[in-house]
Amino acid sequence: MISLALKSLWFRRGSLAVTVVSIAFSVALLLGIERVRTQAKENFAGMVSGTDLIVSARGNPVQILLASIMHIGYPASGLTQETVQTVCSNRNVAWCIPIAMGDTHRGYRVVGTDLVMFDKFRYARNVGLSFREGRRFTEVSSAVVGSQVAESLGYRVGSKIVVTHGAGGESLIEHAAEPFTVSGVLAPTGTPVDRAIYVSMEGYEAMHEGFGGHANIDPLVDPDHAEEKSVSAVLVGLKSRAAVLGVQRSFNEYRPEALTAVMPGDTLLDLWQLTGIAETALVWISGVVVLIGLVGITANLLASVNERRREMAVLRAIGAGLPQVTGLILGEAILLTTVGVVVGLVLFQVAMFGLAPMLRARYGFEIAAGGVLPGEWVRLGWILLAGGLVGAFPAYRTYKRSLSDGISIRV
Amino acid sequence: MGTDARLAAVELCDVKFGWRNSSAPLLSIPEMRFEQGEKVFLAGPSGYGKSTLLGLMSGVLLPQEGTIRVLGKGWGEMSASQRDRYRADHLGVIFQMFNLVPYLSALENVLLPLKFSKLRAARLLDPEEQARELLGRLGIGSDLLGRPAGELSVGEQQRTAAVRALLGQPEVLIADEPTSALDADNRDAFLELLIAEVELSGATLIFVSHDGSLASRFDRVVQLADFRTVAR
Repeated sequence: MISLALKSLWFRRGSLAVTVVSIAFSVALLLGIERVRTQAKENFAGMVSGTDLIVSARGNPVQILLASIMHIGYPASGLTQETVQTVCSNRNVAWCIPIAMGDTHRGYRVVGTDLVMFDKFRYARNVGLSFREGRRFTEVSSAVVGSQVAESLGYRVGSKIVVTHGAGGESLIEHAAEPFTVSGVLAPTGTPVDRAIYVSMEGYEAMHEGFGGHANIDPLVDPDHAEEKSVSAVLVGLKSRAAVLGVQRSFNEYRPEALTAVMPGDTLLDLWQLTGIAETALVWISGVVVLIGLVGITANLLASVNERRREMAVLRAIGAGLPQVTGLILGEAILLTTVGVVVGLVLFQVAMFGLAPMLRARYGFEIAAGGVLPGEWVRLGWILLAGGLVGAFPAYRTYKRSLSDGISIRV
Repeated sequence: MGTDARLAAVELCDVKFGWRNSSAPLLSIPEMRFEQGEKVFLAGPSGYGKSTLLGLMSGVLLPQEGTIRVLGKGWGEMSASQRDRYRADHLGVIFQMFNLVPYLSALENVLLPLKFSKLRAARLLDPEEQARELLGRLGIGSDLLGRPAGELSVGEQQRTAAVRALLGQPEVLIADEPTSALDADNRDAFLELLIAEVELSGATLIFVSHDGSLASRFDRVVQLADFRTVAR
C-alpha cells in the first residue's frame, strides 16, 4: 500500500512539487520572520546589558534610549558639567560613561566619551570592549573606530579622520582643519558600537573650538567649557542593582537641571510595545502565508480526489478497504506537509547562513544562524498538525465517495 | 477448490436496496442464484440498477433487507475489513473501462490483488511468471508489461483487467459491461478469451451487458428488468 502511494505521488509529481514548494516557502518565511523578530529583541537587549541607568536631559525615555544606545536621533539637549559631576559622584554609582554626540564622519556617528568606556561598557552577556588593532585614545586628537567603520572606510591605526558637524549629509560644515588620528580599532560587537567613532571628550570639544591652543584646557575648570553642555547623556553602572529605583528617583528629582533617568530594560519593553503592532502584523502575515500553503495542499488533494475517483473504485474492487483508501489521501496530506516543512527548514537554514554575514555587516545585527530554537519546533509541530487536519477534509470526501460509488462509477 | 459443490457461488435472498431518502427500494430481488462454474449473462439496459446490484454482490454495498451470500458466507455477517479481505480473496472484477491504476505498469496492475489477498497469492507458485503467461495468452506481449497502464490501448487495458481478475483463481468473476468500450472485432476476441480462461479456471462468471447479441455464449440469461420495482 505504501509503495502504491509512493508510485501515485511520483505519477503526479509535477503539481505536487509546486504544492510542496509553496509550503516550503511559507515555512521558511514563518521561521525567518520569527527568528529575526526574537533575535532582534535579544540584540537590542544585549546592547544595554551592562548599563543600569541612562541619564539625559528631560525627555522621552524611548527617545533617550534610541539616541544614546542605538544611535538613532539625538537627545533634546545636553547636560552641564556640574550635573555630570553630580551624577557620577552619587554614592551608589560604580562607574559612569559620559557620551557626547552630534557629529558624524561619512555617515558614522562621532561620539565623545571617557576612557572609562573601554573598561566598563558591557554588551551581550557581560562582554567588555576589546581591540582588534591598536589601543585607546591617549591624546586629544586620537580616535578609536568601531569594527564596521574601519572595515567600510578602510581605516587602520594611523588613518586621519575629518569630522562634519550634524548627523549625516554632505552640505554640513566640515571641521577640515581638525583631523583625528586613529589610535585603535575595536573588535566587532554586533552592537551600534561597531558603527561609531570614539574620541575623548576633550577632543570632541576641541573639534568645535579648533585644536590650536585650547587642547590642554580642562573643561571642568574652565567656566566657558562648563557651560557648553556638550555631554548628551551619561551611562551609569550601579554598585548594587537593587538601588536602581532609588537612584533613578533621585536623578529625576534633581533640582538644578531637569533630568530623565532611564532604566534601559524597562524602556526596551516600552519600545516593544511601540513596535508591537508591526510585529503582530508580521506574525499574522507569516501565519496567513502558511495557511495559504495549506489551502494549496487541500486544493490539490481535492482536485486529485476527483481525478482519482475511478482509481479508488478499482482499488476498492480489488480488495482495498475504506480505511486504506481514506488513509491514502490523509497520508498524502501529512507526507506533503512533512516534506514541505523539511524543505522549508533547509531553505530557512540556507537563507540564514547566507543572510547572517550580510545582516552583521550592514546592520550590525547578530543573528544565530544554525539550528532550530525550541519555539520554532513548536511552530513546526503546529504546521504538521494543520497539514493532517487539512488532509482530513479530502480524505473524508474520498471516504464518502467510496461508500456511495462502491466499486463502479458510471463514466 | 474444495468448496462444497452444493453451495451457490452467489446467492441473493429477499434483497431490498434503495438509496437513502427514497422510500421505495430501487432493487427488490426475492431470489437470485448463481451456481459454481456457471456462466451467466445478466441483461438489462442502463439505469436498471446493474451497478448497484454488482455493488451488493461484491459486498461494497449492503442491502437494507435480505441476505447476499458468496460461497455460503453472507456479507452482512462480516465486519467491513473482513468484507474487504473476503472480496479480495474470492472475487475478480472487470469494469467497463478505466480498470487499471494508470501509474502502475500492466504487470504491477495484474499483481495488485495479490497484495490484498494472501489466499490468491498462495495459489500461485511464481505469481509474476504466471501473470506473464496469462497476459501472454490474452495477447499482452512482454513488450507492453513494463509500460504505464495509461499508455495501453482500450482493448489491451480490458484484457489486462481480465488477467488481473483471473489471477490467483478467485471463484467468482464479475464483469460489468467489459466489452462496451471495444469495437466489434475486439469485443468478440475479448469475450472468446475471457470465456476460455473462465472455463479453464472453473470460476463462476457473472457478465453484465445490455448487448443482447452476446448472450448466446452463456449458459443462462437473467433479465434484470424482472427485478426492477420503481419506474424510471
